[in-house]
Formats: sequence, C-alpha cells, structure tokens
Amino acid sequence: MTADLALAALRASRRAEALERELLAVRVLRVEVEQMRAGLLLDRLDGWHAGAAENYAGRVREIRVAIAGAEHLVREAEGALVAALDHARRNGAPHWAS
Amino acid sequence: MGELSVRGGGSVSVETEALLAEAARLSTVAHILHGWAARACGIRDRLGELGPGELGPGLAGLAAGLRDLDTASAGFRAGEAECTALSWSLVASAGGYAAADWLATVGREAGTRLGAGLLGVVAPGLLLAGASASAIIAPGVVLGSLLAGPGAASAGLAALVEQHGLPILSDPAFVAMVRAAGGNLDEFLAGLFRSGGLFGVGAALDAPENAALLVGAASASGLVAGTRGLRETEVRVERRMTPRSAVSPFGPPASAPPHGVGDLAERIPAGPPGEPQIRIERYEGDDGPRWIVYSSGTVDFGVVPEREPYDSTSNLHSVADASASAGSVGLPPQPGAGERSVRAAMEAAGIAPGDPVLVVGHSAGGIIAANLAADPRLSVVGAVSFGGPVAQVPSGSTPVLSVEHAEDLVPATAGTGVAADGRLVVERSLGRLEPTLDDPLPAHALAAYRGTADAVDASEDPRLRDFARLVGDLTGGSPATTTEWHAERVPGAETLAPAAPGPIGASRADAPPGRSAS
Repeated sequence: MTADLALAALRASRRAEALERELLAVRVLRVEVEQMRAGLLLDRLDGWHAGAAENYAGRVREIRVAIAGAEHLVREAEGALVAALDHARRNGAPHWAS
Repeated sequence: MGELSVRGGGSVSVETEALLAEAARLSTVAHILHGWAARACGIRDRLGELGPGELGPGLAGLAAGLRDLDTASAGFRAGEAECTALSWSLVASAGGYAAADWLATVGREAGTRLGAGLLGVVAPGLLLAGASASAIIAPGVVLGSLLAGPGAASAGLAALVEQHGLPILSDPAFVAMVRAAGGNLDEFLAGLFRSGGLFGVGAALDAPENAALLVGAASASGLVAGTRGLRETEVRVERRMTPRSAVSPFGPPASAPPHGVGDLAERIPAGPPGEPQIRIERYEGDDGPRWIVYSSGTVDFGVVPEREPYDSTSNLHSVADASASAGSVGLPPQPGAGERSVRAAMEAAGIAPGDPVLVVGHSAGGIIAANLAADPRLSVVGAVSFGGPVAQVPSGSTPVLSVEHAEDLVPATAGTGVAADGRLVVERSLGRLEPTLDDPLPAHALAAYRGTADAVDASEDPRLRDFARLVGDLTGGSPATTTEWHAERVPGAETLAPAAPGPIGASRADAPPGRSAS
C-alpha cells in the first residue's frame, strides 16, 4: 500500500514536472511569436501596379491573420497548461496519479 | 451585378531584384512558421503521451489546450504554405513567366486553403465546388500548357473548353489568368498564330465562330502576325446620310449633348455590316470647334480581310501598333484599318490637329480611342473604352476611362499592361452568365456595357465625377452637329508600309472616292 502510494506520488511528480517543461516550451513559443510577428511581413511593396499591390497586401493580411490566430491559440493552450499545473500542485496531483 | 471597382493605371514596373528580395524574405518567414508549427505539434504530442485519457475532471481543460496547440500548428502550417506559394510566385514573376497580378489568381486557391487550415478542415472537394471551380483548375491546365509550348497550349485550351464548356471563357478567374498571361507571352502567341494553333482550337470545338472570337481576342493582344490573311489594306470613308444625321430643309441635324458616360455608350454605332461605324459630333466652343468621335467595335471576326475594316486584322494591327513586340513579329508600323478609318473620318469631318476631341469606342473601338489618346499629334482631351484591350497603350496622363467587366475576356487580353497615369479602370462583375454558341462572350456585348455605363453615371466616386465634368466642359452643354461615316477596305490595295500621313495621321490627299487612308 505504502509502495503504491509512493509510486503514485512519484508518477504524479514526474508528470507535473513534464507539464512544467511543456508549459515553459509553450511560453517560449508564445513569446517568440509575439515578438517576431509584427516584423515578419511587409505591409505592401512600392512600385507595383495598384491592383497587384492591393492583391499582395490582401494575401499578406491573410498570413498575418493566420499567425495572429495561431498565436492566440498558443496563448489559450498556455492558459490551459497553467491551470492544469496549478490544479495538479494544489491537489497533490491526485488525478494524474489515479 | 456587382459594385463598381475603380482603380488608376499607375506604375506597373517592379524591379526584379525587389521581387527576389521579397521572395527570399517570404521563404525565410515560411521556414520560421514551419519551425513554430513543428514546435506546437511537438508540445502537443508530448503532452498527449502524458496520458490524456487518464485525465480527471479537474484537468479536462488541458484537453482543450491540446486541441488549441493542434489548431495553432495547422495555422502556422497554413501560413507557411501561403508564404511558400507567394515566394514561388514572386520568383516566377521575376523570371518573366507571370505578371504580378497573377498572384491574385494563385491567391484564391491558397487563400481558401489557408482558411481551411485554420479551421482544421481538410476537404479538398470543397475547394472545387461552386462557379469558379473550373477556373481554379484553369491556371494549372493552361499555364502549364503555355510553358510546355504552343502546340500543347492549343490542345490545353481546347481541352479546357471541352471539359468545362463555354462558361469558362466568362469566368472571372479565367479572365484574370488571361490578363496575367496576356502581358508576358508575346513570343508564345506569335508562334501560336504561325502554327495555326488557334485555328486548331476552333476545329477541335467544331465551332468556327468561337475560334474566330478567340483569334480576335488573341489578335487584340497585338502579338500575333505572319499570315497572309492578316495583311492590312487601304480603307476609304464616306459620309452616310442616316435618319439621325441627314440634313433637313431646316438646317443641319442637331443632337443634345451627352450628359454622362451612359449617353456616350448609347451613341456608339452598333449597326450591322454596311451601316456607319463612326459617328462624329461637333460642338461650337468659344475658341473653336470641339468634337466627340464614336467608334464601333469589331463587325467582322474573320481573319481574312474582306470589305469590312472593323475586323480581326484591324484589331491585330491596332493593338500591335502600341506593342513593343510589333517589330519583332514583322508587323508594319501602321495603325489598323479601323483606326485609319476613324482618322480619315475625322479629317473629312474637319477636325484639325489642335481641336479638342473626346474619343469613345466599344471593343476594337476602345483600343482605337486609347491609341488616339496616346497620339501626341492630336489634342485628345479624353477617351472612353468599353471592353477594349487598352492596358498596353501608353496613353500617359491623358484621361482614359476603361470600363471592363470581370467576366469579359477581351480587355484581359491586353495583360496587366503599361503604366498610364491618366487611365482609370472601372470594373464591374455581371455575375453568373450563360454563354451560348451565338453569344459566347455575353459580358463583352455593348448592351451589357451600356448598363454598366449607367452605373458609372450613378457612382459618387470623385474620379468618375471628374470625368463626367470633363465631358460637360467639352460640350459646354450646347447641341451638336452630327455626322455619320461608313468605312470600307479598298479591295486589292494592300498596304505594306505607311503612306505619308495627313494632318490627323492617316489619309492621303488624292484619294477619291471619299477619303482613303493607307
């Protein structure tokens, strides 16, 4: 019984550590996206035919939206991981261990 | 019907180095996005290995986090794909295979893919549904064929129409592709015509009239030449007394001045063969006469010149006259028969080189109007083209209003064209059309353009209002004296080189009967 509890606690602890590592990875990714996103793409190029420039700007806008959407989702995932980690710590990780 | 879209005809030049630099930047961005997608995916996989199936109710939110990471990864990958496609397009543009506007065509597919990626939807079938599905495929079929060579291209085009039917010719996406190709494939089209490829298309379709239309469209790009059938001839013009223009016992005929673009479109001659193709209105200004010249569109789509000067041969030469490649494909440096007819009629009507003139035309008449606007010997104060391939005419700062339908193939054959600060392009979509063998290009019809011209008059766009004011200033609101002119080719009188030009640039003084222009 004692051995089972000790094993469960160990597994919970290792999962919490793993969760913490992945939270850090998500956070690093989120910050990197956040910092780099603004300078990744040009708004428009000079010297183009007005129609072509607008079309190009439209496509760049789509990419911006895609990256912004992805960044938002990474932030959501980060929030979910934080909540999961808090929950695990608060409850001695019983759900992970069960 | 769609709303009007108005755009200027500014610079079209893009430095190759700038294109390549942006392509490199996009390629780098694609690489970064690939890395982000892989990292998001990796985190999700590792979290998944922790045992999501064993998560208790308190950690259920983590499952949503895993889905978020999954979707984020898809979003990064979609952005990566879009950047890669854009980068490739820029490299292709720099290589001369496509114009910058082609990005728009490629973008539709990639943009849809992008949306699908964000939503986590993988349903290629959906991308091919709807009215534009065939046109989404078109660039792959046709542009691929173009790069493969003329023979393959004609077969590709024939297969395209056979597979998708005539509506493909009126699909805005296909029209956009033609516009992109039209400006860059001079040599290809020249070779295609010499090889008889376009006639081959007609035979394959068993619809010679459609082939003739295609030839007309291709020849309107000004890039094909070399067959005997396209040799130019002299033309002559004579005034016709029609019920609208006949002199009555009470004096010369008078017509009210046009009050807008709609009125201009309404007055373009559109009679059957044998009827006048040119209408000229004279307005009396304080400083001398002012004029509005109206030119009909193509009357005869045949490629062998008969009596009608408004034919495909004329289209070819009119547009080629403004094309840098004209010399390289062996075209003599002279205007087409239709343009020479208009110039001869202008001289006969008494228009002097310094008189202010507004030129209006449909289809081939549109290219004539733009060519006259580009002629520094004339005092053209403005030109209006309905469905004419005018983009490649270097008309400079002279106001040229080009009215185009998104589904009209003909103006697209001019490609993305050259810069012209004074050119104003008004585009409108007519929506889904039902072409028939009798009317294979319904979006090109003058009747359709008359409807759009009325919409131009109703527009509040300040640039269009300025153009309407230009028309009002020219006429001064006074009635006009109207004359109508019929032009015809002079049989057997081939022109191999331009003759000495008259004041307007086309006539010979000793040319009876009527006015002759070579």
